[in-house]
Amino acid sequence: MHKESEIRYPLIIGDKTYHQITEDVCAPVEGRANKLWYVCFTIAVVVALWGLGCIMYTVGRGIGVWGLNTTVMWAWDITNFVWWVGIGHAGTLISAVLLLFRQKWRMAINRSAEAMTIFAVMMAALFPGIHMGRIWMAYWVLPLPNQYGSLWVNFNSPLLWDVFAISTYFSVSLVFWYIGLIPDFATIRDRATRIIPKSIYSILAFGWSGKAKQWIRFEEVSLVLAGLATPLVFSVHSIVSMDFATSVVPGWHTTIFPPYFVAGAIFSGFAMVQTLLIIVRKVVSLESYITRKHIESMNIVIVITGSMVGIAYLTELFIAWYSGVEFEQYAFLNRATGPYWWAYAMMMTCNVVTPLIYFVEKVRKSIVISFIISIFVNIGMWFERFVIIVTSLHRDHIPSNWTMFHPTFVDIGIFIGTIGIFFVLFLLYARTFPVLALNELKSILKSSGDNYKKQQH
Amino acid sequence: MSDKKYWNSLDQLEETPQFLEEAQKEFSEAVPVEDFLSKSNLTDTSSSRRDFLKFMGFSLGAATLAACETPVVKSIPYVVKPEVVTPGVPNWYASSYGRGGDFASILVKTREGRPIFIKPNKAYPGAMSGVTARVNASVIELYDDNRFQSAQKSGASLSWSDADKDIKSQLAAIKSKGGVIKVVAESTSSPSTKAALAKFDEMYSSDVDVEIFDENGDVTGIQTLKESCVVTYDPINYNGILKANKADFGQAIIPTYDFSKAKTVVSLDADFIGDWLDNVTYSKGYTQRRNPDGDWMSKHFQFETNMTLSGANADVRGAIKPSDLANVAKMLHGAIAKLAGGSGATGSIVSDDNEVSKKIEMAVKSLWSSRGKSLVVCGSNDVNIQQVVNGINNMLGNFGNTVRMDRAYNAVQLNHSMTDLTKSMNDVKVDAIIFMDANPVYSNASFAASIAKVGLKISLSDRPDETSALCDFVCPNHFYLEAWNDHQPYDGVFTMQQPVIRPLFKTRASQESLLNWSGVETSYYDYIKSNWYSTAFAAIDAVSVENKWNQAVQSGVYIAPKSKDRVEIVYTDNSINAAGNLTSKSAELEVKFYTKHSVGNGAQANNPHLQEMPDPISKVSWDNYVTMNPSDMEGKYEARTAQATPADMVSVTVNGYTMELPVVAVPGQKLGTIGIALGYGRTVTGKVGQTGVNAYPALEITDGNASYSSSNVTIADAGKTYQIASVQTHHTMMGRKIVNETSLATFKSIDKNDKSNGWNKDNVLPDAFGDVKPIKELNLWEDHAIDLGHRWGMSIDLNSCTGCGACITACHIENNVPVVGKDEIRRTRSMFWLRVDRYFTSDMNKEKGKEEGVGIVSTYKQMENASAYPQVVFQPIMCQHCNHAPCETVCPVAATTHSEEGLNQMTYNRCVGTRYCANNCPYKVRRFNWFNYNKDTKFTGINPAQNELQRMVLNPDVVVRSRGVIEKCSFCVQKIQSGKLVAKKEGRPVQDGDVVSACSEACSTNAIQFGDLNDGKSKVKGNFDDDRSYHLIEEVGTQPNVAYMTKVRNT
Repeated sequence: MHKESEIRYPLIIGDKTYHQITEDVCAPVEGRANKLWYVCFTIAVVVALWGLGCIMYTVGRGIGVWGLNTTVMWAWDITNFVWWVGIGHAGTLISAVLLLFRQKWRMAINRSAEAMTIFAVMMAALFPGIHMGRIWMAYWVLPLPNQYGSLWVNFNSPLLWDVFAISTYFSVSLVFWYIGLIPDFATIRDRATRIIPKSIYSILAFGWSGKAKQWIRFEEVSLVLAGLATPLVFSVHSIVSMDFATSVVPGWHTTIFPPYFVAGAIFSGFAMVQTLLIIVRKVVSLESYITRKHIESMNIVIVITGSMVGIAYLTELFIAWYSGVEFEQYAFLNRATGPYWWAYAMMMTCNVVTPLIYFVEKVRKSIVISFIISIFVNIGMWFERFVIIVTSLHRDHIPSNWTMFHPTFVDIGIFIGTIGIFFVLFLLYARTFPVLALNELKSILKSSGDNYKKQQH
Repeated sequence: MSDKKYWNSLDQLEETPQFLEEAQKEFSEAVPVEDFLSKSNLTDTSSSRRDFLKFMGFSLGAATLAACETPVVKSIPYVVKPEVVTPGVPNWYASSYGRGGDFASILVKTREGRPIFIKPNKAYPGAMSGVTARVNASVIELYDDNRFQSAQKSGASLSWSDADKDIKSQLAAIKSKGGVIKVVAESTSSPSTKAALAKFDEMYSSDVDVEIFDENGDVTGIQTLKESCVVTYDPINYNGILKANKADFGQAIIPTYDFSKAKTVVSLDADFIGDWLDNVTYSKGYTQRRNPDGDWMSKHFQFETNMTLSGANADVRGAIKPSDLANVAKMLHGAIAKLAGGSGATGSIVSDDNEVSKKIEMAVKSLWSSRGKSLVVCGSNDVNIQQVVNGINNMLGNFGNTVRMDRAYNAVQLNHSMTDLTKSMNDVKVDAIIFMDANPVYSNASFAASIAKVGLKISLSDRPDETSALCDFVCPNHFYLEAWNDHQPYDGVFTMQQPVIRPLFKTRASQESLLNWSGVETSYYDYIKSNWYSTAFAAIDAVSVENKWNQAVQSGVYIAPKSKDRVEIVYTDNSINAAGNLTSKSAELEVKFYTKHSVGNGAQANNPHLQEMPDPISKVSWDNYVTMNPSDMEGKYEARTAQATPADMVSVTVNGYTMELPVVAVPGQKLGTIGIALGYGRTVTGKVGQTGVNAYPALEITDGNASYSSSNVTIADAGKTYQIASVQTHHTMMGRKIVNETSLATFKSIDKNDKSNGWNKDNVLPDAFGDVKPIKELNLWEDHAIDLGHRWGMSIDLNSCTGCGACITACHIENNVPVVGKDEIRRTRSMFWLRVDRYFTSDMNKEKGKEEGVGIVSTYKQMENASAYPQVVFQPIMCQHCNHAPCETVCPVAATTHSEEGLNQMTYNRCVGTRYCANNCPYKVRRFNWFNYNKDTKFTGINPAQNELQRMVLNPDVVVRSRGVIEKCSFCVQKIQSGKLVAKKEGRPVQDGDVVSACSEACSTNAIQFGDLNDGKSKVKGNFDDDRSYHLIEEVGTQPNVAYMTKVRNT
């Protein structure tokens, strides 16, 4: 048995046994939902329906119902897209990269982080679809054989790379997540008493019986998938950033974008995981598993990636000045001092300044402050994308084109709506899926569990 | 009773037994009913229940499939092909446009019998042919379904014969009792219309007793005179010039102004490029002399209140209050008289914050040095000022040279006093009134109140207007494209107005109506013909006259041989006297009314293309507003220059009439003045026309005629805001090299081959190794094969471009560009494929900011603000058809690609609408179909493509785009294809001029040239090679196929 230094913080608090872990994780699935869940779910459904209504209105009437104009042809749509994709980064990072690095604290959070990734990528994928003028022709962006012979997609276009990057990322994440779920589904199946849940979970469990051979294969597949998923963590947002980086728009045309976007994505992803888990641990009573230690670890990632993003912001400003290009210089000056200065200020404050307080240990361990800062980061990262997209476009090369962007109720409705849909999915997940990787957790109980650590003395 | 017997067959006649037997039977052959209905057979039958269900299923399926047929759009092919109509091939007909003081000789393109496009007729004397936006956009008015569709009496339609009978009997009754009948008619240059009016006059003019006075003013007797029925009335009249010329030359005429001969042009508030008299001819002549490579370049001084197109193009512009106009004229007069060695008027500027006195001195110097080849024009409607101006032109020896009194411009006539007419109407002295192309109820406030006192009111208007709404009878005229007419725009120049389509509705030429009521039963066509045979063609023998007539109809133009005997025109100098009569009421705030280059006097208000076309200076469409200098607005109203936020509303009271209008900042507006556009606020017209506020009632009527400025004005904040529809919300160039401009002095002094400094500096950048190279040589991409075949290109000479915007409407119509309406323009979603950018200069620049140490942020902030009195430049921008197009690389579905002829092509059918291309276009010329403009109810009544009738104007060669796709300038690819086809059929290579884009065709100053860059002799190639040519923001590396030519101002 692997022994762990007693100085390390325990990852599972309280007097837990293997059975207790199973009980704790299965409780939300097997028991009845509490009132709070119903309230949250109702709100989420209403917001989601409103968002779906706005989407249907857009598809029915045209993109004109948004606030876009001839100069600013992308605004909230792509802002939301990049925001959601960014959020979707944390899951894979936690499950794949941290797995490879053997970070055990990931086990308490990886399941929910991955679920969040899946749902966030679904929300993200929605936007490139609905932002199209003719969504019914959306399949044309896929390199499908067709009756026109040589009519092919344009492999030069970063938007096409996006299609490949996002779809690959989504499928790998989904498979990775699902593989991890199989032993846990099997546990729920074995405990289920009612016939319908039992049959559903037995289908989902893929006939898992817990044999040693299965566990070996499980470990192997997890490692292979982690190896596959790790480059994706970096490729997806690099490619998303190339939508901007390969263009000629001052403010977009920047070589720093790929690493900067990846750092930003991890940053925002961790913030969203933080937001969700702080709620989840309370709502489904998982304080023993998602501990202050976990929160602190995530806060460290947040402050590091936040600082990276901060350096990127400053580098951008420097390079704009150093390039000597009139258009670039003005683009960045305009970001900071132009009509959208407040968006830039929001971005700077929320992303660079506020996370810095995590350098204080007490703060980084405070659950309330962590929650607040995580919300700040979510807002800040949304504004980062808004700043990049809108303030670059609204004053580009030729001053006669310069305009402002004003969102309409549909823009707002769709954005809020996707948050609603996201929460509907997440709340359903919390009631039907094992929210912790319970079988994996059991593997560290005896090395990192609170009571076992005490017993070692 | 007849005993005739009819029979069907011989058998029936003979009543054979066989026949009788057969006749009893219902069916001639036995029907085997028993075979399948008898009980035994039914059970024996082999068709089972399953078969029955099969048949039922089949029938149901077949019926369903038949019902699923795609909707059939009915199109009826020709059974017999008309001689001249070949489907797919346009016919061009020469015709004329002569309405509202505008005149143009035009060629009308018809496709399958439908007129769809108007361009200038080159047969018209070359230097004069051109069309304005109002002319080329007028084609859509033909298809306006608001038009009257038949004669009407009190709103109910009736037949022409009934209408004629009724009207004739009423007119006869009035005539027999000696009553007064008036015809209120718009100015016309048509000899035959004048003849028809004279015919009517002959029949219905009334007797008037006029008192005869002796020298002492005592009445000595009474003389009975014939009083003419005709009252000429234009909403915008030129009585000032006409009356001055009547006094000075004995003839109330507008002379020919020859701008192409004028080395110095001084304009006193006359917007001769924008909206003054024959502006197309003037700007054509003017721009001829704006070529810096020509023998000489004219120098243009403009003294004006509002910022106009002419002021924007001027070399020196002095902003003055309307009340100072007389003083400027007097100062010019005095100074020139002094140089001529005589004595002249004296005056001084009251409000001089723009160094106007100094500019006048400069103007005087320039005028005097080019006397005989200079020109002073004045837009004032004050007779005295015009007489002073006549005096100036006389002293400069311009008469007979740049001002030719022997060749009158006839499209505007002396207006009669409306005050007199209204007075007699109020006195119930007018028994009948007929309106011919005149709408005084809208444009004359006092008229509306008096019209009820007239017994018989007849409107000849072709579409509802404020006047026709109050008339008893409406006898609708044809639209001009449906009607025969003739014009004599200039003395000796006749043009033919040929109908290009059969009248759409039951309309009749208004001249024909008048002739009919005068007892002349003839078609107007015959009347014109006989009129020409007896006047213009009088000297031509009977054999060749028919030929001559056909030639005139075919070419649209007939130039009368010059008459041998020169008319001696004697000038009487009344200028000193007139100067003495001039008084000016200066006030703290003064107003100057103007007409927009687009909507004009308001008659064309229901034209969606004109409403959508932005004002060349303010860039605002769909509304009128108060123009105010941003410096005047400071502290009082938000000077919304940088952002499209709502404008403040003010209530302006002019001469006791109050209007609520938004304030729009227009730099260059004289401080302490405001400008308001006339021609808006129509109430009885289509949905499109009902926008803005009617400013006509604010006009002061002096001497029976309106004066277009006033000192009697107050302004107050209305405490409201209003969202204006502006296509351009940022107004300065921000120190960027967008429009290259230099002065003539620099242009001449620095060698063209000196590429390292001065105006012709090469755009250079260091390459990866640090070697400085011209941008053209720095290249990331492989070049397209551009040497073979055609390579289409366009050059735009910013020196010839006056900013008028005729190209905008021409492009709009040629390419079926959707009209999107006020609300969409407010959201800056105009669909123009071609726009004309306008930039003001700013007081601040980066060098100055550095010198003054204001800091870069505040320097840029100040650079956003235009100067109080800025210089103005225009720049038409359309797709630049880049050889290395940023849009082409980013489209995921390859919907935009490069053609082998250098075109950047847009494949609408392939576009999925990601709009990435539009974001990546540095020129932002790509337009997105935000809505289904031809179906969405938001655009009903606005977008012509939604209207059954109006969609007839759509160009069948260009597809109407559906929602969700990007569109943009195609270089009129349909015209390129047809030009190539024509050349191919004729078995020759495509020559320069075979392919001309719509904007280039519409450009009367030849600023836009289009052609093949691989054709060494093409004009566009020559322009590309010219030293003045440059590419817009070429440092992005786009390598455009559009070149601009540096603007050179004569300063």
